[in-house]
Amino acid sequence: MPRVTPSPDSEQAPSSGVVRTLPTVRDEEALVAGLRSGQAWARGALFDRYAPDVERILRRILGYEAHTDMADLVHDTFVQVLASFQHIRDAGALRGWIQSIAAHTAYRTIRSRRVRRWLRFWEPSQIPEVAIVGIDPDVREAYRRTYQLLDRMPAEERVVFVLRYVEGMDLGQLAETCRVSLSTVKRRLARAEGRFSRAAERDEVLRTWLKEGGRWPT
Amino acid sequence: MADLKRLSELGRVIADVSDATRDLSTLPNARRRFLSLTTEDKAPQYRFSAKRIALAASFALACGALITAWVWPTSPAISFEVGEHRSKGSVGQWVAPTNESPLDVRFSEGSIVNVSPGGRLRITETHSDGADLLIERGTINAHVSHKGESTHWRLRAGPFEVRVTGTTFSARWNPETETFELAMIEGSVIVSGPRIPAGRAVVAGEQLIVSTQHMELRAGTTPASSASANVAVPTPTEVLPVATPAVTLSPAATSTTLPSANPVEPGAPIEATWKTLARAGKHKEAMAAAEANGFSAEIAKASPGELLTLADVARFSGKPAAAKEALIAARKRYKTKGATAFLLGKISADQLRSPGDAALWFETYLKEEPGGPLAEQALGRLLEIRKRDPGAARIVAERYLARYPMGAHAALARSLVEK
Repeated sequence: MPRVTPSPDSEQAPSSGVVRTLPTVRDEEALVAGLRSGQAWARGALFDRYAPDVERILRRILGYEAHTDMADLVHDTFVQVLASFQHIRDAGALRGWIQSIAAHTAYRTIRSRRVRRWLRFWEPSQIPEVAIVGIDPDVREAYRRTYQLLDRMPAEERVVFVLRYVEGMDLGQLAETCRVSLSTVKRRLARAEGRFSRAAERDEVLRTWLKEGGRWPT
Repeated sequence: MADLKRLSELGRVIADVSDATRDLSTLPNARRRFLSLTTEDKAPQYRFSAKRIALAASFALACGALITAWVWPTSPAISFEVGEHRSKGSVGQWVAPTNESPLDVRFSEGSIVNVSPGGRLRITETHSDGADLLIERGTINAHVSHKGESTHWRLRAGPFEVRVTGTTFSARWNPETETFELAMIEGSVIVSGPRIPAGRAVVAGEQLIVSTQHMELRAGTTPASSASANVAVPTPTEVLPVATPAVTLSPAATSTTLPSANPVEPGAPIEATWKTLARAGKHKEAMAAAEANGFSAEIAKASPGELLTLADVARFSGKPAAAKEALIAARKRYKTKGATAFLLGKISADQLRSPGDAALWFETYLKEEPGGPLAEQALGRLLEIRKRDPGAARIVAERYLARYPMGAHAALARSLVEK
């Protein structure tokens, strides 16, 4: 079922008794127009429609880290969206463009984390345990070690690797999200795959996952 | 390079864990903040928040520190004096008593090393935080001053190495038998060498005897905190006795069979090592350390938490039988039910390839914790095991669907019910 957002003038006439056609999820044109004209509803609609994508991309690229406030990063991403939505020519490309800003926010965060760690002499390899019950301990260990490896990868390779293998983007989406050519994204992904695989090969838990899958055949 | 299909499978698992562990308050918090922005706030390309200013200040400070460290002369290496007349010592030269009296080596930062008659020591390097010592033969008694976290002393004897950060100990090296002995008076050190490649902690009150062929550890043979009992331990403020009394080391340097007045149970001192390695995620090394002293002996004295850690160490280093031993010990000795049964099921299914045992353990888990956090997974694993037997599979599938109609194995369960 399509989600419904209020029409641009619904706030002025909330109870007129008139049935109005409301913009649906397909109306990105209306959303962009609403943002351009400073309509109050548009900002809320923008957030509600795209924030789950933004949060998911940030979370999956960055992993869990005690010093990162994810709400802060989601907020930062939308602030950047607001700051630059005038550049959007094709409203249909809004989702890809927002995802691209989210990926870039994650990239900047990885870079700034590294500077921060260096400045604070903080031990970078200590990925906190994921505090949740109900997850198979082996899976949890694989998760923790995967982010340990990702933490040692160059930021741009980490981003492209996670978007491909965790987020499940195809090469075209990857190129669009990373704002690079298809050939560049292929090269970058190949480097990331090689780097991750070599490191995983040296890790006793991930090696099993990559050679035999998470489980041995029963 | 890894199979890309496997990478994708791992990626999907990571995505699932990430989604399952997401903080549900993130979006409401971000939404509230975003919608509270005023029109003027909406395009802050560069925000000079307190956080940014603090970061910039930290960066400036770090740069300053780097420049200072580069320009400023580095701290000088410590110096040392030898003997009663305090002759200035030279790095690389031998220090050896010429008569029946021991010889002191006093370092400028307060540490003292006493070389017993017949012994020969070489100070191979000095730096601002300590020195490297090499026992060529004989016995030394040392008190190393702890001046902070940076204190770094290293003692070598043949193929053995002792890392010291501030402690009091006696050490002896016999090059003929290639036997190294260490008696700890205060503090702790890490010893590494041929039989202990991963390193081994030796703490106050313990005595280690190790050669290329043999290793033995004893507890209670040295006073834990005092140098007064039978050990000549120099301190920075006292004058060393002229004759060195017998140290806690064995009477004969050639002997590796010391009087076993108070032999320690195998495994006691290694505990710190395998635990430390396990905490660092070095499961293979932790397993090797635990096995070096007897895995079963470790199990025999482990607490419930340690047993689970030992089981993890064994599982992750590819020793499922050892993991099973630890988990069964936890169940028998401490009645640790539930998760141990689930893990035993996993080990049986995934590593020991024993689906019958696995099914029993998953059923056990479901009996012990029917509403437990791993119940859905246990039932799902049971379903996977039983799927080759249509009758049994159908019963499990119905159980699964009744409890988890939207669960991860629901599609498999439906397909088995509809068969």
